[in-house]
Amino acid sequence: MTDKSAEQSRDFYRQDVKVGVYVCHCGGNISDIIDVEDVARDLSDYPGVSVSRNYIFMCSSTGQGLVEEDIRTKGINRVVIAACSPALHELTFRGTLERAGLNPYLYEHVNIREQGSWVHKSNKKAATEKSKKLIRAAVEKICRQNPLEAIRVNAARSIAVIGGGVAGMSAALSLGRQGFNVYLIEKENRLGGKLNSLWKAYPSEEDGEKTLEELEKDISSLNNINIYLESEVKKIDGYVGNFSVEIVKKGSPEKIKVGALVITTGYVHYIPFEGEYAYKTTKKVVTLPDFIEMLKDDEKNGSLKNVKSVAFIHCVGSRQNPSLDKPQKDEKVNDYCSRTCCTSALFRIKQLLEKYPDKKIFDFYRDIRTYGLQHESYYEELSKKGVLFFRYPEDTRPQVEVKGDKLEVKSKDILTWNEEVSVEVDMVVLLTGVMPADISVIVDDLKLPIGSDRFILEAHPKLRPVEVPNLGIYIGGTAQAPMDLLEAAYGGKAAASKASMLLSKGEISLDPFVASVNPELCDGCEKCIGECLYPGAIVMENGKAKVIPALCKGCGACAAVCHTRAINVAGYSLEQIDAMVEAISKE
Amino acid sequence: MAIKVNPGLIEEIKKYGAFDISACFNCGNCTAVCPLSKEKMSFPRKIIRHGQLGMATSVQSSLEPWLCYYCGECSDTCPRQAEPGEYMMSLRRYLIAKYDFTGISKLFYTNKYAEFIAIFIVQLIVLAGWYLLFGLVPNIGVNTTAATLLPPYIIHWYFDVPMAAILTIFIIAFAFNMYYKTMLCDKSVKVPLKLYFTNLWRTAFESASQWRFSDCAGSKTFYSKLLKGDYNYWIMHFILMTSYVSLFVGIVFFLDWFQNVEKYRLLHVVLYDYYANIGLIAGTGYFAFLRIKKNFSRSKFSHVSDWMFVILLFLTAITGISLHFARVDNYSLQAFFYIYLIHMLVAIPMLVVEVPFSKWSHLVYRPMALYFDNLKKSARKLK
Ligand SMILES: Cc1cc2nc3c(=O)[nH]c(=O)nc-3n(C[C@H](O)[C@H](O)[C@H](O)COP(=O)(O)OP(=O)(O)OC[C@H]3O[C@@H](n4cnc5c(N)ncnc54)[C@H](O)[C@@H]3O)c2cc1C
Ligand code: SF4
Ligand code: SF4
Ligand code: SF4
Ligand code: SF4
Repeated sequence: MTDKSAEQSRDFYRQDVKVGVYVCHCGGNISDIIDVEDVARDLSDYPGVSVSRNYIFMCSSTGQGLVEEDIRTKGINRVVIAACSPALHELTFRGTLERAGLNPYLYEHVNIREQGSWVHKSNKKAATEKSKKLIRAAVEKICRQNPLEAIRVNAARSIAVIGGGVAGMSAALSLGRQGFNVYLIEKENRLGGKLNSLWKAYPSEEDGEKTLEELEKDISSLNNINIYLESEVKKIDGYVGNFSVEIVKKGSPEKIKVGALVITTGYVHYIPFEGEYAYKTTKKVVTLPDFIEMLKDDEKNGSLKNVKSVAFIHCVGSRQNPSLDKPQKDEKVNDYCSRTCCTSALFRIKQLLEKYPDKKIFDFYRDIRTYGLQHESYYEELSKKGVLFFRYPEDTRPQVEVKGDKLEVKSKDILTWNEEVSVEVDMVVLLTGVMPADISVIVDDLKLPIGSDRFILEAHPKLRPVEVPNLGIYIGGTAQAPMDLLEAAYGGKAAASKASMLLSKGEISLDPFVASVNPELCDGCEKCIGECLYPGAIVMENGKAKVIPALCKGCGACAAVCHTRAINVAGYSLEQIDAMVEAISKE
Repeated sequence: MAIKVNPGLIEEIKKYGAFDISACFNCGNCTAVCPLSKEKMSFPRKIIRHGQLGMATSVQSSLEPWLCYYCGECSDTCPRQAEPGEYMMSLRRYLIAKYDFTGISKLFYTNKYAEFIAIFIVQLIVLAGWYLLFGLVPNIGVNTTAATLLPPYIIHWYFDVPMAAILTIFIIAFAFNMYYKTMLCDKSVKVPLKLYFTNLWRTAFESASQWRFSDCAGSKTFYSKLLKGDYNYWIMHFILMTSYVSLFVGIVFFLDWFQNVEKYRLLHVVLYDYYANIGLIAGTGYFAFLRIKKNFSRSKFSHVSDWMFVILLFLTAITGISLHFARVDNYSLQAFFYIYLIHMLVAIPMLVVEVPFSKWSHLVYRPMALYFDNLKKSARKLK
């Protein structure tokens, strides 16, 4: 040991480096398996290490105090913390360093809990040895780390909200109220999206038009919200803080600069194929949105008076099965649940029965999914009123046939021990589901991640709701997943508050872990450009590659293909990685 | 063949009392908790569904309603408060109305006043007969005794026998109708003739002891349940039923002996003077009390016919006892005459109206259902 350390201490690079190593017990989570004292002792005479300690909870204020104290009094200028996952406390300890006056990036986090004690419970000795190696590698890495600065980009205090349904209007309204310059872009000639057609909507039974009028009134009272009707997005480029959006408004193009984007483009109704449940072969088979129109109509002229019996069929165009249902253009069936059709249909039946209590209603469901606050009560209430429910098995579909001036609906019924039942009715309502609006231009330009259900995919449903991996882009409402009005409004507002947090300082600081090209080594082969997944992150300038820091994600793909080793990712330089590998492989 | 759904049936059944059954969403909890439901005879969920779908033939051919003794466990467990126990009770009313091809039972169950009117009409007939035979004022001489004033043989031939004949004809006809609907129409099992005999004794034992009843009181040990009163309902039911049957048989078929205390005196005193009368009065009192308290599911809903049953039975018992004492002690022939008239005015309409057309017909249908169920079971086993 002494020989080696003597040799390595001659290394010029480390002359004035003083590393502090802190091994956390995590209250037993780590120390029950790993011999933390042995680890700390072992690291104390590793080259470059000045202080090596172990402590029960490093993240506690006393634990952090130890680090601050060592920085101030012992001249520690590099910190390695061996503890839990960095996802949990990396930011905590960066703050510790900053408070003690040290550059926060001169710190390395080693995960000896998830990657140590928790996965090697049965072999304490090996877990201890593994921890030592990981920490040694971290020490090697941090010794070669330069102070880094967060990347700062200027951000325009303006936001484009694309899609003016209830989600978009809610987002625009809350951003407008916070003083941002908002562009609300809607392709139709009126705001509101589906609010225009829901009539009296559950749960409040308030008329959608009325909700819409109120939202419109509030929006028009703010002159920092610019409404673009009959407008479509043609192209989007740029990056967080500096997006440029090309819009075609009533035929004439226009370009706007915004700091962030909120995407609330909503859904379209599933349209059954001709012949699917006899759709289009008779006018007596209608979709749920058609039926809502009919109810609205009936209020004025009693047009449903002569319809004595109605059958409802659930999950049309939702929860499909490729072997039973016809796919969409992209060859995929809609295998997801559209979530609002169950509640919506039961609510509409309730409306119908309130006016015409004698109508006979037959409901063919697969499951009743009336999620949400009091929505189960619609189901119970309707049962009590005599609505007859049938449950068809998932591997069958009810059949609709025209029989003279009636329709016959036949189905297997789980509730009747899978017997086939048949009813004769005057009308069939198909509970058609929802699909995301076609926004391929936006998706392609922004490289938005799309789920297998074609809706925009959230970065993480719990940790990063309404975000996508790309910074500065937020999603809300039914563009993201089927949901009801209330949830769509929540989604819009959540997206708005994330956008406003981002843009509130007029400047955005980004992690400094991005690539940079050493022009002296770059021979302009352009291999890196072909490898990069993020458009515009690495470009050619005067025959040399150049990285645009605000767009680079620091993935390192370019560095890996560069044959002259011209590219380094800050915090993960080739030299650092070489040193880590060497430290780990050394016996 | 697909089942053609007919929502009219459940509405019809609801007329017999099952007001809440549409709320059933077919979860099956009721069948799971029902202590009497068996794999091959599972209820009540199945017959609820058949009712909802309007499968009238299946409902009318079912024996399940007669195998349910309304313990109320199902209603207590139902998450939708659909009152399945009450539905089973209503089905029994519905089935009585269906076995009865005259339509009288249906009228009684679906019209509030029909039963009162019918009782009133029978009372008029009894009164007319009495007037013709004995007049409305007793003709009491020096030598008149109870037996000469109202000779038992006259009462027997002019009242009991015609009444018994009417009852028997109706009951046999309805019972055959039940047999037709539940056995002959059920093509799923064929019962060989031999089984009809071999199953007779088993059914006789079961209906006499009503042992299926006691299944209904949960699953602790017999004695702890007895002490806690879990069996009270069944015990009272048993006492009431045996009191009633013994009186019925004694009065209708052996009136001479019944009124002649001297023959088999001990049996007479023990069976009729004490057991039957006390049984009737205590039994009717107990059930009236439950209906008023309504704290058991099975007593929560009272149909007009349920009340009628309890009240008439109670009045019959009271007048019967008074009559007995009037005769035994010979204290007043005048009183004897009138009490006897009142007794006849209560008992005969009660028997004529209630036995074939209303709740008392359970006495016939239940043992028959047990018998048929046993037959079907044994027939299936043979296969
Ligand atoms: C049959 C049915 C009944 C329902 N009933 C109820 C109910 O009673 N109560 C309830 O709470 N919820 C109900 N819902 C759900 C409700 O409709 C939605 O939650 C809500 O409308 C979603 O609002 P949104 O803003 O997300 O989407 P949308 O209302 O679809 O709005 C999206 C907007 O974006 C616009 N747009 C799309 N693409 C572009 C583009 N490229 N550029 C510019 N603009 C674009 C569209 O024109 C539209 O105006 C029902 C849903 C269905 C299917
Ligand atoms: S909400 Fe109901 S009808 Fe709609 S897809 Fe889901 S289960 Fe089917
Ligand atoms: S590090 Fe990744 S994102 Fe950044 S330029 Fe290289 S390949 Fe593109
Ligand atoms: S418990 Fe109630 S809801 Fe469930 S099947 Fe029985 S009656 Fe229906
Ligand atoms: S009342 Fe009792 S016996 Fe009758 S169905 Fe319900 S649980 Fe079964």
